Amino acid sequence: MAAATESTRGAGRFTRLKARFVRAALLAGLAVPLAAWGHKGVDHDAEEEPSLSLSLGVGLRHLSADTAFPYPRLPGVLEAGSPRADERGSDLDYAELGLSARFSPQLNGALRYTRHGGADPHTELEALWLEARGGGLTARGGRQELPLGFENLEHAHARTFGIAPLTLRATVDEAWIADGLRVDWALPGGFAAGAGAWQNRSYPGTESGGVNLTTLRLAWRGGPWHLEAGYAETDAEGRALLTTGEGGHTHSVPSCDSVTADRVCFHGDVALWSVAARWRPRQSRWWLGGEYWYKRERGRLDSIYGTPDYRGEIEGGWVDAGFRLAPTVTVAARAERLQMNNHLNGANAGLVAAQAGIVEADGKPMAMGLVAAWSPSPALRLLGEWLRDDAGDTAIDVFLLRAQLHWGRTLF
Amino acid sequence: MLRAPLYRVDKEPPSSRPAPRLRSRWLVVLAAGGLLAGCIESGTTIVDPSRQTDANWSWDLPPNFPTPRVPEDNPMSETKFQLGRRLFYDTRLSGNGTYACANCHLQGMAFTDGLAVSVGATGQKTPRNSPSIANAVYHPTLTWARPDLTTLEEQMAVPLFATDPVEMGINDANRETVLQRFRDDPDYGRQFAEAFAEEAEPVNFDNIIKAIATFQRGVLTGNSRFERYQRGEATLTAAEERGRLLFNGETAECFHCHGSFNFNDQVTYRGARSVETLFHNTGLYNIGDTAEGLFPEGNRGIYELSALPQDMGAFRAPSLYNVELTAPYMHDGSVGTLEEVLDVYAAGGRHIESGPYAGDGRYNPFKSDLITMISLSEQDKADIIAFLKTLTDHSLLTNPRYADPFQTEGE
Repeated sequence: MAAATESTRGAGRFTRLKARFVRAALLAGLAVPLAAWGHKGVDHDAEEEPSLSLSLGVGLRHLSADTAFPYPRLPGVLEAGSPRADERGSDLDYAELGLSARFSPQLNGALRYTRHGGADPHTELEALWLEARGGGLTARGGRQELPLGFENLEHAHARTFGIAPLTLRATVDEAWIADGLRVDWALPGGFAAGAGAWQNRSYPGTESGGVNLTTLRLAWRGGPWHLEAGYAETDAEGRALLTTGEGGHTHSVPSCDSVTADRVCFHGDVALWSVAARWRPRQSRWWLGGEYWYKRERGRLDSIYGTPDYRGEIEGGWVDAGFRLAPTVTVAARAERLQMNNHLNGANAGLVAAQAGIVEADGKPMAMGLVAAWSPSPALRLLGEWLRDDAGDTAIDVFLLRAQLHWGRTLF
Repeated sequence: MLRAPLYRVDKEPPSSRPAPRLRSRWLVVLAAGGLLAGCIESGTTIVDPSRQTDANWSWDLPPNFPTPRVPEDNPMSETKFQLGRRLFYDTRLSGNGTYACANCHLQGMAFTDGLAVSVGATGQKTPRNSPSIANAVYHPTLTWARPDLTTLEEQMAVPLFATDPVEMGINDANRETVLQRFRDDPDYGRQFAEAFAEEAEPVNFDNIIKAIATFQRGVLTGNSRFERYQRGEATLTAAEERGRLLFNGETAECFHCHGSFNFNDQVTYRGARSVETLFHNTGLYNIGDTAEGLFPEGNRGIYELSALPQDMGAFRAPSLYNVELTAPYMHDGSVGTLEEVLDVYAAGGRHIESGPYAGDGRYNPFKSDLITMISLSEQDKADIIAFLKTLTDHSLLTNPRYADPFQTEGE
């Protein structure tokens, strides 16, 4: 009987795997002709003319690791939502539809609608913004990535490394997107400054009904250097960490309307600082960079065991370096480190910390990765990535293969 | 016409400056190394004022237990605990001088008495099975079906002064006699004076109750093999592990009523966000198969207090710690073994075919929705029982701190 059940489960797994590969093959079959179309070339000439462009993108991936990856929880980090599900295996990474519009040299906009694959398939409007510029001032309103560092500004699927830095996972759940308005000023001497006001949607804050997130930015460009400093501040009135249940990553933050045995809620303020630097000379095939992030949370935790005061700090960063081996081949390396501390004060603080999974914060997770990217055509990018990750109990090796196809066309 | 993708495939566009000397790269590397070195001190610090030790008392709690809630007018102290322990085992605390609290709460039986229903000082039977006092500090309501008894002090008055049935048998006629027994004992005089130092005449029933309640609050069980397993200090057998999964799964559903750290569904403690006081009709009776879903007269759960039809047969779910040692089971001790308990729950209630209580409890109209027919194989039942036996805390049974001081003194 048990064997029969196991056999049935095995057959179920095989059927799901088969379905995934059939789906992936169909997408690849669709993508190849699109890629061939895309290979004809990209026209950059008409950027000052009013235009409307459509783009389609598909990404496939295969993730391999000895143990479940990504980690269900980062030890010692007060995360939110459900534990992360195991993403190993082959699957659709994403399929996206993009529209970009140029109404005039001073006014343009973009939209990106994405279907995410993996253990938590979902569809999301990732970007919808309108940008106006003039007189040294740029204003962009709508849904967009927050101006913190370089990596967060880059759309997650377009990043060179497919596995997000530990620091980004710990501080902003890999990417921080919000609805709002950012205004940037170009200042003399290569400086730029910016400010933004936002309605937050996600970790490290919570979904809000109004403007509750502000950002500041200071940047400098000079020669091969580009420096960025960013600051964000928001409140998190009821950010739930689910403590039981099946793995399944949720990008929305569960409710804290009632505190039950399966969740710990954070109520308080979140402040985040980022500093990023990049060095990229014109005639060099090298580039070097690094980012440092620091997040501070102050407030209280709410659990069935009590409501202790809570203070938490997370800091981490990475350095990365890239080298263009050939016009179509780039390799890059990244080394990263993360550390955190938590302070709880109140009745049953130890039990609340254990429930939230933040008792053990002594470890200083580290990771090191290499990636090779080959773009045989502007429409196709193939990436192979290795990551040595030491964030869990033991160091593990993670391998990620990605194929990204992109097709774009100007409609008028 | 084809356009560039919305996102950048490469990194930043190259600047217009020529490549600087190699030195700049090392500056970047050094700066980056500084960034990775880190500034904050790693670790988690936990400050729990409720567990801080003072001169009078220090909680020695299992790691997974929250800090107990203690009434402000009866704070914990070691002297009071030891006084309460002595009183708990002292037969002089009964009307006829023959009966102690410990008669119904034997340490070797996890502070139960092994009888179906307890017997009082005069031989009169109570309607209820003796509940364990271990972890009673976490109960928001006491005994089997008394939502009005919310502190151990309130509860203690019941066995002391009850007249029907008689338990300890103290009444208006013998109150002073009982108190005089303790006033005449110099050891007690010293202990009362130390425990209630601010009082001129400390030997009184209020203080007796406070001392015994303090002792009861200090009787904790939480060092079972299952807890050691949770701490990584012990292993479970394959059968016990299967039982654990069944217990916590939706097949057997035991966890719904026995899911807290105390393996029941009524818990309170310091800092608790909410306290539920749940009572359940588990389908043990349905006398005469009537619409009233009758339980035996005088033993009808919280219906005895509320007289609400839906409260018929509703009792508090007990903690399952040491359940291996606390047979017979249920509020009236009417189920003899753990195997029979599982049979009742697997059947979705108890069908009594003949006798004065004949009726099919499975169809009791007020039976809890949590009690439904469960498909459990004999192996499943054996596995669940194997798991339940991992909840036995053998240290509780022999801990000298909880033992009869008169025996200890006699040794």
